[in-house]
Amino acid sequence: MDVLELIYEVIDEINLDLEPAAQIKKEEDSIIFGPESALDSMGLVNLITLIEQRIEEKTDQFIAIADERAMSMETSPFKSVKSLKEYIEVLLNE
Amino acid sequence: MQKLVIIGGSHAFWEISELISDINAIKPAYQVIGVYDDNSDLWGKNYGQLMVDGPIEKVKELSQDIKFIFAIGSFRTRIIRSQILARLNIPDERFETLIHPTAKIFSTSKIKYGCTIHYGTVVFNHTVIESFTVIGANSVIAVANYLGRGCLLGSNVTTTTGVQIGSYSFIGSSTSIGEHIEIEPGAQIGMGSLILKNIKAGLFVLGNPLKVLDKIDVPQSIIDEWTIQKEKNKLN
Repeated sequence: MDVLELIYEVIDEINLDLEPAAQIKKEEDSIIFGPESALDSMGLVNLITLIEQRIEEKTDQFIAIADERAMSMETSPFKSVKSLKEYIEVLLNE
Repeated sequence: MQKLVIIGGSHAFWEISELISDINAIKPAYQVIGVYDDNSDLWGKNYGQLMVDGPIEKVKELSQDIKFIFAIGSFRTRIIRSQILARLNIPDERFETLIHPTAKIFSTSKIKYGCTIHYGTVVFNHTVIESFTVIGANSVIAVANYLGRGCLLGSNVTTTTGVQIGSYSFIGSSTSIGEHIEIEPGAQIGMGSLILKNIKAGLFVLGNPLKVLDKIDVPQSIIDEWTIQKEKNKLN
């Protein structure tokens, strides 16, 4: 499974609800949480929930992306598309 | 009438003004004589019939018969509140607790200094609320809860039996908290969340099911104080 492609599919879905100027760019460096992000905290929850659902549909495996373990990482997995992709890959390979 | 000075000139000032007005409508009790804020852009600006008189440090020069309302706080500043209070170093006893006339506080519960309880909130029996905690409108705080110092609770928050909310936490509106849950100090709970497990210090969680989105460092002094306070509360 191409995790980056899956995240981009979900971003397409999230962007449907955002004004063109506020949409998340489909780039690995895109910030997804914090003051520079187009998403507020509710938007981030939506993004994560959709990603978890898509992964479950594709793999029959549920992985919890946003739990206390994510916060134990040195850098938050929710900083950018790249950090999120890398964190999901770690979870999928366990 | 008790003279009051409001510390903080943001939105909370207007909420508190309305609350005092409602209390005074039943029986005149308070007279607000001043407002202070560190934001120099506000100095000299009119706040109703008052004017922002300058930085909050100036309240220390006021006479001893005046009491204070601590009107600073949002989810962003939840930890900074503790630092501001430490900097002011004014005894808790000089801060007035305001309770809206429509709120119901059970007689066996205890609310300490400098708290604000808004419209329609109910605090059930044997609950203790430490100083500087703010509870929004129509919240229900259940039996034998313990709310630490400086908590901020939005409106329509519902707790159940034996809940403990750590100092300087923020609980967003319409959050529900299950029985005997402990939310550790400095946590932030996003609006509409359902909390059915303990939440570690400084975590930002949101949703149902719950997602953990962020974490801030909570000063060890706040965590240590909370540990002592909650143990002491259990013994009482």
